[in-house]
Amino acid sequence: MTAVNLVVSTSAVIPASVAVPLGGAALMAGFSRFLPRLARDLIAIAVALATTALTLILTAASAGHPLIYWFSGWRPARGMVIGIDYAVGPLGAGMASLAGVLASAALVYCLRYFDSARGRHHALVLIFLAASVDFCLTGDLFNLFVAFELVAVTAFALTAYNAGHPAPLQGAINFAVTNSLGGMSVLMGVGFLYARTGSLNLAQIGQTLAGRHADALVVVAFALLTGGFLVKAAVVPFHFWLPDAYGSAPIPVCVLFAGVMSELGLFAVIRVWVTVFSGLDGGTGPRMRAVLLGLGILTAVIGAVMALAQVHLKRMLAFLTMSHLGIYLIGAGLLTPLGLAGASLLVIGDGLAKSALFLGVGVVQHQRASVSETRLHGAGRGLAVTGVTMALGALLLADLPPYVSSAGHGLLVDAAERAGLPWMELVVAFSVVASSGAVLRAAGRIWLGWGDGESPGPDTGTADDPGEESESEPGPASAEGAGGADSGQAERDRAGRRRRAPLVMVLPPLALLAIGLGLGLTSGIEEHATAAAAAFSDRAAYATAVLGTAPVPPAGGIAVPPSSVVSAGGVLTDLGQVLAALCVAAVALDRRSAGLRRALAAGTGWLRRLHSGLVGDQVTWLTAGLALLAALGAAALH
Amino acid sequence: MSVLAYGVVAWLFLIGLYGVVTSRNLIHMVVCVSVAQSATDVLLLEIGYRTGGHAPVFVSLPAHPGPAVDALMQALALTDVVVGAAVTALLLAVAVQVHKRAGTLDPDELRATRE
Repeated sequence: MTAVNLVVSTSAVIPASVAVPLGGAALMAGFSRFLPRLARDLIAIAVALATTALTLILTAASAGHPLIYWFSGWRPARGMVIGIDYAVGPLGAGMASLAGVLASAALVYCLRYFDSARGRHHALVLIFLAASVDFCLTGDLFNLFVAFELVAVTAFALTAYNAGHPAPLQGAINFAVTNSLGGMSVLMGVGFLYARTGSLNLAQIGQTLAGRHADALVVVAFALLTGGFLVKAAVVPFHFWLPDAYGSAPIPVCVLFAGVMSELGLFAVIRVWVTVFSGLDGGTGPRMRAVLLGLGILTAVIGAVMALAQVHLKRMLAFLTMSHLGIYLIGAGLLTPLGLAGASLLVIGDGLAKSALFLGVGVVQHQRASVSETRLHGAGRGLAVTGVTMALGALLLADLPPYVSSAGHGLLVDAAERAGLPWMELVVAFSVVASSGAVLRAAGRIWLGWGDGESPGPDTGTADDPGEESESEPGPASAEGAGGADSGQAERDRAGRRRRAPLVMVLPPLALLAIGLGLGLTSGIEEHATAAAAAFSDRAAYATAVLGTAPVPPAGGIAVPPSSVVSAGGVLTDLGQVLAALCVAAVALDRRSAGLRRALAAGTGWLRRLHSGLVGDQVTWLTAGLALLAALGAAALH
Repeated sequence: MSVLAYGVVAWLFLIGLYGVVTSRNLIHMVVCVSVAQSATDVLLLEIGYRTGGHAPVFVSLPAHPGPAVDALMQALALTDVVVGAAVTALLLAVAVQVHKRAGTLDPDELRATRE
């Protein structure tokens, strides 16, 4: 009964899930100055929560068969697409719900994070949310590009939000230049595909290319599209902008970046691969898998090593995010439903946990005015709840059962074994252990006062930039209309330092972790994810659903392979990872292992020097990456 | 026409990239991004072009013999121009702020995120 109601009403819910946050953003941008601060914040939170509810309805309603929505009712005629469609599947809608949850948490956090609440910030966050939802639901290639750019432009503006300091400005420049070039690359790919197939609809392009051999034009289009999306996904060698942007953006914005934005890039890579290129003739799958897995392994390992080398907490979390992106790419790059299902559960679980970590760092920054692990040595007293949040978040990122990431990890390992790549488990374990170990090391140093207070050498990481020190005390130039009441509040805030952290900043990270735990305890979550991933990976079924050439196949047609997630072996592996992460942290904090740390620092010096923060270098890497991708694409598709 | 247009696309994109990579001035860099961006517009227009085609206007004009060029690609190019304008405006605003805060426009001197 409820299911029928859901299906009937989805024709209104689908456009509303984008229209609601966009309308809310317009309201914020236009009328926020007439509203008291609390009303502004609460309206923004309500809009984000409403969007979350709408996308959750879509996730539930689209399980089993995709929901197709044609704007203005321009349906395809005789298999020819003339309109623009949304093709809603549980995977995309679930991604959109994650964006909604994280945006809500970030906005709740903003109640106290900024001394003066600003309507423009909320408007940008809501546009970001609307564009993310659009990105997840659309079935049109050009619409995908527009959403890509809309996410990017709002993200540039949000990165540069604290424009009173040089660090966010440089972060925004690096981010904007590299991602704009990525956007151009995507658009050229769109143009080439249109030139070859005469359509912009993913399903129609896929149908036109199906069974054909890839010619040079298709290979170039593939390289441009995939390369552009990989810039957003921060995959090596396109990742250099990521630490600069994450390290300098305000904390609530980091939550959106780490939990949603980069994952959207990977989502687009897989979506375009499945719907457009996977039907190409000539056994392209196995070679494509090698390319994606290679990129994923590089990203996972480099991110983990770089995370260990950081003492700047936000940059550490940025590299942790990057390492996890590599793991998702490994899961999705296996190009099997099981691997994709594992990656999806990891995206949800890790997204929540990473956001909790960023929010925890934000509490420390707000209360102690620093984000340097060494400078904060022993400074965690009085912030016990946040300390527990940080440690718990790091352990959950190491796949502590029964969190939802643990289920995802089990599926991923299972998928790798079935694909004949059992050693992939070791790569994933190394990355997870090293990156979680870095966070645990920082938590041990800050809250337990273990280890040394000073940095072992000038070369071991990034120092605090001055902008971070005073981010929560905006300078006069950056405080938009900071009236007497606002500055009075800022004074009170400063006087209130060293007292308890505000509840609206302490609770959201715990709430996020609780959601992930609840999902992990939900029975049958693996089966749901596998069914969703199987539907997502089926190009022919997608094409028939969109083009309406044949009745939508029933959900029963998808075979869900039995998984060995709940086996004792999987749980033991996860516990082993958690223990290993704790050991890494202990060794890193032990004074006796200074020699080992120096050797590691010397061994990875070249890698840290590559991350120069210079936009010219980053664009050079981007260009080289595009050329590499074209060569690999030619090898894989031709 | 066709070869020339694709040559222009490649030239504009590569020279724009070269400019971004070697730029020592943020304003110059932003303009180079715009140059690279214009390559995509030329590409889209060329893809939609038909030899001898007329403008894709079909109302309140006398019927034109022959084919029309592809209006879809022109719409895409127009959207791209809007996106490019937004990015350029944002980057220029950031560049102004950089000059205000750091007193320089040289991206190499702006290494605050690292040291």
